[in-house]
Amino acid sequence: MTVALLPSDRAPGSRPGLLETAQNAIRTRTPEGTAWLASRRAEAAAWLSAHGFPEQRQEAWRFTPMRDVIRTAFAVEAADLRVDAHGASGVTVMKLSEAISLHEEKIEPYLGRVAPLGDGFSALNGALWQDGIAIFAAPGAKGRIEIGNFAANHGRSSVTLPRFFVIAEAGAELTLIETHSKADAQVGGDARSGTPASKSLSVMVTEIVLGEGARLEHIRILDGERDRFSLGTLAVRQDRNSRYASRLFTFGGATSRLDLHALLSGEGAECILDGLYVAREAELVAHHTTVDHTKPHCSSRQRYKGAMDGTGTAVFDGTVLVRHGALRTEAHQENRNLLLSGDAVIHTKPHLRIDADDVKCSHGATVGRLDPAQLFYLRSRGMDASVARALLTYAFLREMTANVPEDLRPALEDKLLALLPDGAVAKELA
Amino acid sequence: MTLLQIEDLHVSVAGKEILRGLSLSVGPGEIHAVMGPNGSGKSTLANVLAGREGYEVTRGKVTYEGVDLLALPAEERARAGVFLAFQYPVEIPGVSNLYFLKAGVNAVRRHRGLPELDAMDFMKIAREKMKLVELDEKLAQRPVNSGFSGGEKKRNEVFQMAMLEPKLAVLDETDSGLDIDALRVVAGGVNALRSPERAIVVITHYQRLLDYIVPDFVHVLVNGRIAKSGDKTLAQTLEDEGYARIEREIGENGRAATEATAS
Repeated sequence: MTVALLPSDRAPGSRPGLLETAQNAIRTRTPEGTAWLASRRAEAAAWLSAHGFPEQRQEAWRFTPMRDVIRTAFAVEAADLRVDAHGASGVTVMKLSEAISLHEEKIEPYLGRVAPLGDGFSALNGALWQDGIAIFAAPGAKGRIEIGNFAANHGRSSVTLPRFFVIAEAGAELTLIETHSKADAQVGGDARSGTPASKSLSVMVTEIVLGEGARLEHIRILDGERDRFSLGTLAVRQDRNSRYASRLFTFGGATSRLDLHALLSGEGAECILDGLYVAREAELVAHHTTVDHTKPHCSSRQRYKGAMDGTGTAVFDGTVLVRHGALRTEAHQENRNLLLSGDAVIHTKPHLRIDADDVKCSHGATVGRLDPAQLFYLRSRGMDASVARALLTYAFLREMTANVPEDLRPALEDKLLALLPDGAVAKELA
Repeated sequence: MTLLQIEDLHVSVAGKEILRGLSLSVGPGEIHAVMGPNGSGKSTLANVLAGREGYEVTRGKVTYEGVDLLALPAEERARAGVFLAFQYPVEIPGVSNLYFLKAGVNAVRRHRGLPELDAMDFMKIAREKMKLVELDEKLAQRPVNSGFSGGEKKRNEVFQMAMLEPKLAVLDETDSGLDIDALRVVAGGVNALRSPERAIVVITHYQRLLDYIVPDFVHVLVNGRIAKSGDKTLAQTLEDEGYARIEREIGENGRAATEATAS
């Protein structure tokens, strides 16, 4: 049980950290006008006070140490969010803060209720989010929406708390493309003498509600940087016959973690979770997913593939819950990992809890290195060893780009190749 | 000038000595058959020449075009014109057969000071060479050896040989797993690639292949060294008498040799 660090508990002389930042911000915040939202924020703030931030001895955070981040005094900054919904019909997009009053009846049942308050970070977002985007798709709506979240470097350690909210009503069919990357203009904190390297922290919460028969293709691309910590909670609630497909692309980062919760709360729902990740030297990428089958005849499939190089570390922690009464469930989980160096690390932990009859469930995890026979074959035809390695690594990962809109594929493939040593040369051959 | 000179080669795999003093001399334009029973070191010879890891050379020398071949990494040997047709070609899903071959072809061309081929020129030449081994273009466009039958894999090896134009081609039991029709096609492809600048070393267990790829020299590999050399009739002798006779002969010779040095 974690004990919150209240200001009076802090050892004298120790530096203020994230909790203090949070509590100052909560105290000094302009009170929320809308009563129900104020109460949700207060709930989150109370949770944070009671539980604090996760410690490494908690099972769910064992492989994602956040001590350095928790000890850092961050300044809360505005998130730079951009959205483009041209060509979408029946879709309304607006700032989340405006949606609170304009679409209260649609949001109130769900905001802060779909995503669990499971850790200090999502509670932080729940209490303090400012910038956010709300997407409402009316019954039968169709289209593609692109969201960009650009992290600026202000030269000091800063935290942004963006929040996203999506409701797709009956029969709506949407493609949502979310990109998290660096802003073009950078102010380098490291360049100033005497300033310790500043950290950029992003704590995001996304809540998605899919009505009956609604379909959402959700592509999320995260470009990590050495000084960036990205923590996300993504919660989806699926009604009957709805389909949610998530395609995650996580390219490094000091720590890039996503906690994904999918609740299948209607018969016949389909949940597809694909993830590609790359962790290089000193990088950490973690995926914690929970798929909760509460109704019969639902299917879920998780397929996560990653490559780790240098001292890169990845975590895959996949839980499937099949509740009592969730007959004819099909749930499959697969995690495949490629270690490119002797120091690369993967923690893979599949977990299935099955309380229903007549189900088909499977899980598999592999950890391997490049096949020496394949490497030799390529080299025996004149290919440089490092190009051969890049090509085989790319071949391993590239499968995961097959299910994204075609126009996104070249950029994703380029990014992949850019991460691999000699990838540029391998690019010619791919 | 000799293209390939192997002198007293000793090679161990996982601590076990497989080649025990193998010597062989191959000149350009020559076809050499190396025949031997299982465990004699045939594949070890092929793999050591191509530069596969896991083979420890404990003694001896291999000179290729006057250069120490064993000092070169696998890709440099390939660029210098050494080609190995694998006995069990590996499948590489996700890597296009044609793209990877184009990379190899251009690496060899760069090494030879020739201009690289662009996609169109490469495809033109590729289509011609596919005909040599009756390889369907659709098959060639798949990932490397992906879903290929045994015969198709062997034909793909010879297709690659045709594209890479090696100076020294080592065919490691190319006939294994092939029926007579497939054998004929593969052998036809190899024969079409004979040239005065090209030496071919055909490694095989059975004489049958040598009816189609007629060798200039036949060597019998037993217990890690060449026990006997001759012309193509030696292959027929082996076929008629099996390897046992030669193994016995060596046994006697081995003893005779020891006696000679002792006295």
